[in-house]
Amino acid sequence: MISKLKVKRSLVGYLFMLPALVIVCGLIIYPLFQNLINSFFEWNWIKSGMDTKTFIGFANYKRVFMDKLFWNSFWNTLVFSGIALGIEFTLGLVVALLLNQVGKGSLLFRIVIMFPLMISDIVAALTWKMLLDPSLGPINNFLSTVGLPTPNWLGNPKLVLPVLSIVDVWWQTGNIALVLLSGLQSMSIEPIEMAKIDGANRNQIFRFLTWPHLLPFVRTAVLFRIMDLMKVFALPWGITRGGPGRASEVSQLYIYKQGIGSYLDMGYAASLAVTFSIFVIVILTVVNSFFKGVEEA
Amino acid sequence: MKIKKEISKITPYLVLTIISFLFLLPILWLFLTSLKQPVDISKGLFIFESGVKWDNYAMAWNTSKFNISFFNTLLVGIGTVIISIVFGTPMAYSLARYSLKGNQFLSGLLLLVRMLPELLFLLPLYTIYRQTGLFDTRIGLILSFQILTLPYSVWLQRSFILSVPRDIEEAAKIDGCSDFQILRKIVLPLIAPGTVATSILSFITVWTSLLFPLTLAYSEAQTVSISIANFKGYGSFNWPVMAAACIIVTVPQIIVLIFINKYMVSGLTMGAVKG
Repeated sequence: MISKLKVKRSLVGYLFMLPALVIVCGLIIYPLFQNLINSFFEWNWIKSGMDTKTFIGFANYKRVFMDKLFWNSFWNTLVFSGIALGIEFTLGLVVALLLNQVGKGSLLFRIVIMFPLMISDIVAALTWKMLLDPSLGPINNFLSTVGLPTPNWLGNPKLVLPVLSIVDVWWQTGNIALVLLSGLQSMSIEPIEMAKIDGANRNQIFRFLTWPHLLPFVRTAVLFRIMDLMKVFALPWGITRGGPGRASEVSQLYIYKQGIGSYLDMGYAASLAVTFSIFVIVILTVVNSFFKGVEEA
Repeated sequence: MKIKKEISKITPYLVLTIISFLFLLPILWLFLTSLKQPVDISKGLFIFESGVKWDNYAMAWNTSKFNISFFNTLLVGIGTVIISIVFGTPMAYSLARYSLKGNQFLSGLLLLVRMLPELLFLLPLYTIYRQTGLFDTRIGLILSFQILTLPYSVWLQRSFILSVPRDIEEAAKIDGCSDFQILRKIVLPLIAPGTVATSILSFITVWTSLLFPLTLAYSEAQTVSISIANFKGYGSFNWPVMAAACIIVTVPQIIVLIFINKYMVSGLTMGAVKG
């Protein structure tokens, strides 16, 4: 009798899951599977149309590893992400610590620092495209007024990636600051007060009390930030379209161009997407292993 | 000694003020530019030699099919939210209350979708959509957005349901409510504020998304992100109008986000608030 009731109960449970499971299977799992299949086919819509699809085994993957443009895009993604993450984390930590220290007025500062976060990536991209414009943009206008050199921020292949990273710093530092601030605010005051009584200085308190407590939050902030940085698309697409040349062409932008954006080489684009996804997963796994023993926030 | 103490008290405020100022400056510039005549754009922040031009907003609204895509995005957003909530909430309830082995699957799925580059989903969807006629349709966009919004709607709704005390449901059961009635008449009203937050986060995902409409729509189902990106085609002298369009797109977003700022952090980690 009891087991019958239990079976009925879990049946109802599964029934509740069913509608969402249909969507998950149809729109998440099936496309992933389909993409994997496509990656083993020569399927170029421009060359031979949508209906000619030839199985070619791992040939696409061989091509990926020989593709200098793909490696260029991957390197660009790493450089962009590395610079952005380094600055965002340092600045985000400083802002979080300061916000936590400031009692009065902290809400106002918090809202201001949250502000860029509430702007979509494409609006951020378009705004900065104008700000950085070499002739009309206010940044170079200001620099020339005070007599400083006015670099062509987006036209110089050596400058363009760091500049895009700085745009991301403006846009997303608040992200890390907010996550770390929520960590700081979840800390109890007693241990710090006691350490102060025992004569600990500020550095010691940070190193032995604050930082260990903050680590799970650091982990969350950093891992999610890396995820989004590696997936970056709208900033380079909106500001430079990957240029000048291919100096700011990040991986998602390159894959987009190979597939839907211009070349319609769907089989090859699929294998690029699979390869890039594996790289992303590997990087996240490696970074995650640095936080071994740190619990999840 | 006293002066030193005073300085250390003021320093955090000073640093925060400088950072806040730098963070706000681009937004201030965007807003002021949206009110200028094209000839004034490079003449300094507060200089309006040719007068303030509120007209830019009207022009932005009528250019590049902006008004059409505004309502289009509204429709796609509402459709996406309805499907995510209607399909996702029962799953959330099931995961929260029936102790089935689905939690790990769900958190795994959530993380996977969050982690993987969007194009891994969009490339195959594009081929499927082109072959089935879903390409450049609102319904196609609504379905595709479920990839992002369904997993975290389930996740958020589950956390809200877990905060409802179980006794209420037990009592309703004794009074003869069916499982479905418990969900509909007891749980749903109790988690209504949470549902609103989930809906808003899903809606913002749609509102701000660029890659999804860029790949799966073309003109008919165009969303606001695409239309403001298209303003660029109008050349550099239309900056004020473009700035106005950017402001029109952003204002609704900021209003609702301030409204639910309690959930901002979870929105960020789940990727609802784009990062």
